[in-house]
Amino acid sequence: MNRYKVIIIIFSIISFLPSTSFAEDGLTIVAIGEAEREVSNVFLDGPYVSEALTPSQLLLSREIKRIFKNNFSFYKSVFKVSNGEEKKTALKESVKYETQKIAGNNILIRFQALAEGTTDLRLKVMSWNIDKEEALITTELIISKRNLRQQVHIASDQVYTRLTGKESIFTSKVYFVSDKHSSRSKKIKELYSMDFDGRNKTRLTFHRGTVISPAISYDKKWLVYSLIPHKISKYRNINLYLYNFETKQHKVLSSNKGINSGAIFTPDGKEIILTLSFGGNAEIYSMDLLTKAKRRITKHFKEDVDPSINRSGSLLTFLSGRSGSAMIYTSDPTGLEQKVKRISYVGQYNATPRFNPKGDQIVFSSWLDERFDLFRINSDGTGLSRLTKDFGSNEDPTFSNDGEFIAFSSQRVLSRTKATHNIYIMDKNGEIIGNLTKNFGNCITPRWSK
Amino acid sequence: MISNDLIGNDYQEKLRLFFTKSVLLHIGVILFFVLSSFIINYTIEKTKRASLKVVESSVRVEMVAMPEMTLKELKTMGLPEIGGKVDKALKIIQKTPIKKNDFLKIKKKKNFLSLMKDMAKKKVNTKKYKKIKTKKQGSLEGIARGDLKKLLLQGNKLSKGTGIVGDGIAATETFALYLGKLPMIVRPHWILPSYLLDKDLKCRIRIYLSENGKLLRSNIFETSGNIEYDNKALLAVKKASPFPELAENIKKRGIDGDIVLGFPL
Repeated sequence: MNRYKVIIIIFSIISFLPSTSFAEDGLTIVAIGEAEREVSNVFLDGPYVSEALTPSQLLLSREIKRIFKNNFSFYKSVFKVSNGEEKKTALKESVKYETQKIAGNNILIRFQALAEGTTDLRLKVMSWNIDKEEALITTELIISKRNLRQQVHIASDQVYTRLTGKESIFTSKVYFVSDKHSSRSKKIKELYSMDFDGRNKTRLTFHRGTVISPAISYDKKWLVYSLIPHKISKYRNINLYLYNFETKQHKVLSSNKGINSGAIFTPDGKEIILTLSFGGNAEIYSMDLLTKAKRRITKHFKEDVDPSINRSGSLLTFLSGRSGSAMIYTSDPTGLEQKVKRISYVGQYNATPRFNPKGDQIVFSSWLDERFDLFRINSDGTGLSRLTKDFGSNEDPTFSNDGEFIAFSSQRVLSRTKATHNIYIMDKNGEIIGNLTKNFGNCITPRWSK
Repeated sequence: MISNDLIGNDYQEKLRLFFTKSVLLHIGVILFFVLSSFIINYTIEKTKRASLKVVESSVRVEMVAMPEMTLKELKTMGLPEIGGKVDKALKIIQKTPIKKNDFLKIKKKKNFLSLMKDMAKKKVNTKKYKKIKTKKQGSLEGIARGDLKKLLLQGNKLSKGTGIVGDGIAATETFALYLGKLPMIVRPHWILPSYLLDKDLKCRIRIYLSENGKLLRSNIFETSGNIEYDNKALLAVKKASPFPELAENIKKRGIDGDIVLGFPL
């Protein structure tokens, strides 16, 4: 029995020793943090062209590839785009993944341009994810000189969406105000639209006045803006206008005494939220688009202006002077002065707070060192970071529809009496991509379609 | 002969019975201990999992003014390494030979008057002093101090935090300090393609480290549900290895796999 006792003791020691030694300490989780974005190499192969193409069709096929490259280059933190040569052979519909991997390509896009009549092209676009060894999407489009940019943007968007599972900016538009059509004697500011890449600029208003604070509805069918009329009249008022993209008709939406401006659409498209001053003080109201019934959202003896709403419609951000200087606040737009929270505590003068599509971040401009610069803050008031510096005076930021970019107006002083305003685009972390307007008058207040 | 055979058969039978009993008993004892050891280890592991501690990178930031540096500037700005300078200094110290007479000279006693006389005779080498001063200002250490001072003055402009405590309690334990180094080491290798980055996925990797910080084993502690995401996290851990050497008092915890890395949390 003594032997058994000894064996039992030995086994007990062997089996309990290691376990009891680490029983006193638990596991500890160390948060590594958010990952960096991997840059994917996109290889544009082609265009594969047939011998039958006319010189103008050949030029068109080259332009298609140039637009594709330019589109993907906007996402420079995601894609690095490289070009293949033009090939006068039939399109290769299969891919040797190993060869592509050796070449360092992550995404392969192939084009084929075939003649469609004497002027148009039948474009076939094929794309592959080399890493996953899978075909992404095959698209066929008829392209003419007139619809070239639009069709290539659609094809680019399809490839991007299939690749990332997200919408792109390729089919979005930027609306802005410009004084391009001013004369020496009369300064006018009208509303224009352009593609995300600054091309295809179109004039939308002909009021011969000053258009301010445009906003686009989420369904992209409506646009609201305010107008400061230039005609000298007893009833000169800043009225709010509604523009229908389909009918191209303008109508007065709100003409209360005083300011009717800074309007934005609610995500459901049934209401607008705007600044009204008919009560003597600028306050934020919501207005039903059908009944025009108003509901007050803010109530304070100081001015509340510049509203912006998140995509779910649950949180409103606005500018208020209630703390003594212009600071950014958030509130619940469903009630009066509901859950009002101040989120900015620094800066001499802050302006134009704008939500990103996700609604977790707000970009705004702040007066610093005799100029405006752009800053970003989380909607709970944390994570204040600076986006622009030493890049002129930067105002009026607006997030892109996918939240990856910010368009803004930037002023450059040319001389003591002359300055120029242009619209620039940068990524959400402040990496400047370039200007969208140049030699198009002074361009201000950009608004990105949702 | 018959009786001998009977005795022999009886003895063999008894031996066989004893042997069988003995084997069964041994197997039983071994099984009991293996099983009890397994149960105990399982219970401990369960307790460990239940008492998980989450350590987040954080920096306490007082918002005193608008940030002066942009996000881009903060990303590109790395604090200069002070370690290099220390190594250099050590080398210089090692190279300087120690003369035997040095100690003897110190031992030699002087009266106060002669000491004052000697001091008055001594010339002050101002050129040398100036030279040393300029050198120090231009050194890496000088730059680092300047940058740190700037950062402190610039209010809320600190970049990614490497502090280990999120609730403001000072962490003084060696293990906690060791954990605080890990995010900085793994993060450069934590890279995701955009289609995975925006999916709000989360996984946790348990790591087992040798005494010198080498990665012995890593396994998925909590899966994200996406194999590619989990593999990218595992790859980041492998690429980050070797980790810093573990101090004597925490070596055991590294080997036991007490560290779980959260991607991102």
